[in-house]
Amino acid sequence: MPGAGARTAGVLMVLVLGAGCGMLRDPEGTLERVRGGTLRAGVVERPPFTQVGQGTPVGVEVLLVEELARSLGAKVEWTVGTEARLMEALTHRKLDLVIGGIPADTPYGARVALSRPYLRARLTVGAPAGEAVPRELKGHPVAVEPGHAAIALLEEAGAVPKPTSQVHAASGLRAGFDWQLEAWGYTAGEFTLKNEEVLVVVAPGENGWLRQVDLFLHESASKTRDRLVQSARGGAR
Amino acid sequence: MRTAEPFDLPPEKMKVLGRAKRWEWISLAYLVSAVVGIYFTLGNSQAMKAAWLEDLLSLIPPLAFLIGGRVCRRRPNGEFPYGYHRATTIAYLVGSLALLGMGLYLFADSVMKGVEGEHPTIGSVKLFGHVVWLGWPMLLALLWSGVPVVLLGRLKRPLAEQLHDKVLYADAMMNKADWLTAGAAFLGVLGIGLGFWWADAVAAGIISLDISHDGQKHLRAALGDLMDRAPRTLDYKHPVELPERIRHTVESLDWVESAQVRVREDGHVFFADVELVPRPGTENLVQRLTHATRDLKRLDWRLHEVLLVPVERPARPA
Repeated sequence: MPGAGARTAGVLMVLVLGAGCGMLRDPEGTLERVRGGTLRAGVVERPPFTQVGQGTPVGVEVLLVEELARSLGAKVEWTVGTEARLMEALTHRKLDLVIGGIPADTPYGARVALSRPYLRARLTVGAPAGEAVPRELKGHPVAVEPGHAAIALLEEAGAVPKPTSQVHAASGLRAGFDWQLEAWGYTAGEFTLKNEEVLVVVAPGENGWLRQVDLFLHESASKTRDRLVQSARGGAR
Repeated sequence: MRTAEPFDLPPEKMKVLGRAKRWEWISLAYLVSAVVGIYFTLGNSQAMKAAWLEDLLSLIPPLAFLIGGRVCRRRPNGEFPYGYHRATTIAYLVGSLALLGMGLYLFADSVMKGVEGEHPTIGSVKLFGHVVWLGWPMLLALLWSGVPVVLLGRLKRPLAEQLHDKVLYADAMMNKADWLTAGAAFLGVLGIGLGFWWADAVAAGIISLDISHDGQKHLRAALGDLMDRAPRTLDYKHPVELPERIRHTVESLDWVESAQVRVREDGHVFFADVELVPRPGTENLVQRLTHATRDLKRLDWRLHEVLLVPVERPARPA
């Protein structure tokens, strides 16, 4: 069959071009449903990414989702809840995405779809303007948010963590992410306690929808970071 | 203890062997590049995982050929009086078990993924500042793993035939069929892109069945070789006619009444045991036997050792 190979190649070519020209489709049609319709978003609280008070949630990521919805002519339907419950709903595609400063190493990663990280943050120790972070942290007191992962990391480095609820107002050395230190006018230290990538989780297998989210996050990445710095200036975490 | 003669390939075969070795080294380098390429684009696709494992397992035959080939040409010694010819067969047995086990595991895994209705996700990667659908690099990696390999298979097959090397032959045939695996995975990834989530599990299932099929085929061949089955052609489809030719040659000697022949295959070479009934009154039997042995060895370059045993009357016929 000399023509069979060529015919197969032809069919493949059509399929490839079809998939390529923005034809990425969702098995459950999420993108089509959201466009001009409703975006079902889950919110886990983690200031300043998301904050839940009375009424609609606020925060940097909440703004981001509102803008994404606007770009698709959709309105947002918010569901506030715990991470476990929202991720469960997402797995069953009862939500379209979940936000809340979710790190790339989220334990739910295997069961949901992860967007590309829109923020790369470095957890380190900073010193007030005009001062330098000591080369050796041994014995130095460092202000840190109570219950923060940085406490253990600081202890490992030999520092003396001082849990303070108002870190942005503490004196001397402070532990925080690079964007927080930037907001406080602090000089970030050279060493890294931890790297964190922040992303949005999306319903699994909805590849066209995921791509839409990815493209939007990519376009808004620098604006989002600026907003984070702004919000940290106000004293939010 | 008596040991077998060391076996050396005829000079023209040595040249073929050199070419075969070179192509196997090239195959290894190429396969490693394909394995790495697919590894970095695995994503969430079951079909990609299957294609990756297939490529990883296809490293076994070239390794068996190159390592086994080195070991099997070691000189026979007191501890291994028949030499090391079976080294490749053992490598082959181990490889085929790996193929079969991996194929069955992958099949069960794929069926489960399909039944559970797990929707595979293919996200994006950042390449040169652009956000690119990961499906594209996947398809490219699959093309790289599926196209050149077919050419390699075509190149290696005639070499395998000239050397009568079963490992090389199996390798060539696996390479030749590899485009099917890559093609199935290609369709699986495209299917995901077009919204058919099940295409991935189906493609993975097909690939794993192909891997299992290869595994059981090679396992049976290797077991047969280790059980001293009568020699067969490279593709195991037909018995070779060498035992018959030996019998004819021996029986055509004017001092032989009848003969019975048993031949076994030891890796690349044949060992033949011949029982013959000399005609009554044959003189210089020892000298005649020596000459006959030397002449018989010329029948086939792989015929490594011929043992002629004169008997009074033929043993129980085969």
